[in-house]
Amino acid sequence: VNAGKKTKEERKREAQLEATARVGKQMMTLSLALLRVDALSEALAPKVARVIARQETDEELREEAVKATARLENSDQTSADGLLSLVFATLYAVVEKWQEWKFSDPAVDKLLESPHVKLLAKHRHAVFHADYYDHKDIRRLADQKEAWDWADDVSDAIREALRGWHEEPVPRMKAHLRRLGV
Amino acid sequence: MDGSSKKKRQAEAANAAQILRLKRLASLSIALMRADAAQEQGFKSWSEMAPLVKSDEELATELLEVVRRVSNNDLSRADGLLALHLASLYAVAEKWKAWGFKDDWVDRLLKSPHLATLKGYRHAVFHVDLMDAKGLVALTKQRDVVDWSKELAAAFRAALRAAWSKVPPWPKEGA
Repeated sequence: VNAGKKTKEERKREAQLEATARVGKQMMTLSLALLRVDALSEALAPKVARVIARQETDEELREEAVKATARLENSDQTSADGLLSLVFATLYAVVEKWQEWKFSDPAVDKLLESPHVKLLAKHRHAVFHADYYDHKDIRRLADQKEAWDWADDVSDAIREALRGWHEEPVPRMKAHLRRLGV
Repeated sequence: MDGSSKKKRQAEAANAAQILRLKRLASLSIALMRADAAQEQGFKSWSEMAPLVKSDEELATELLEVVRRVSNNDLSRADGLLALHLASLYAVAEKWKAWGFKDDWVDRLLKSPHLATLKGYRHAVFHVDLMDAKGLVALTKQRDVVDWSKELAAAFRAALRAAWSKVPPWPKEGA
């Protein structure tokens, strides 16, 4: 009568295998998404350095941005502005899935207790839906310079955590599955 | 109610409408430049590796290795930045339609079924869907979407430049 029916142990084993494959894919996906954030940051750094080296006033920079916008031609400054917005927005996409997929790491989780997470979420929405350039959720992050350092710290912490996963996948996977209750 | 206050209200309404139109034009332009900034850097990385002729399989293997190290090379930089360019371009298309902008070239391109593919791609990139999610796979299977997106970006640029060329001096808010 029970021929072909799986035992409780077999069902548990199957569930664990499925969860392992799913979490493995999630970990690779997060790594790929973080590489996008890093690619933006790497492209941004020399542009910011060039803009700072020019030692222009905010007013001069604003005038240049207005002219570049009407020409639809990026200058170092508008390019840096656009890349920075994308850094914040793509970083939030990583953070969102880190939380949704229940990844955990002491350093990352501590940083994600910050109210900046909400700011980042709103910024992502405003950028990825091309809201008004002066939308409060875009300006708010741009005006809080300490949020930039926090965003760098979050990227660094997630990168370290993911590298840990790649270097020692078995203990991390076991701990993760225990946390998920699988 | 006298005629002068009615005229004043009409003038205020016309001024507010003009400011809104300009804000939308500026916002779309900035959003397109954001997409361009990602593309410019993506092409730069692509051109660094273009002389090295590799098969799709070799590229996939290389990308997997880079992902395992969580450390970019030119391939993953090009891949990531071009993904963000395409996703950002969809955001421009979305608002172009929502804000009622019109242009023959742009509007013809936006009738393409590729727009739906780009929308799925935007969602997959900006919400970090699994790396084999259908929104990502759909675009990699339709290489002509990339050619179409280049034309779309060029059309947006031309249309927005034309719109800027007709802009009168920026009115004062509350004037």
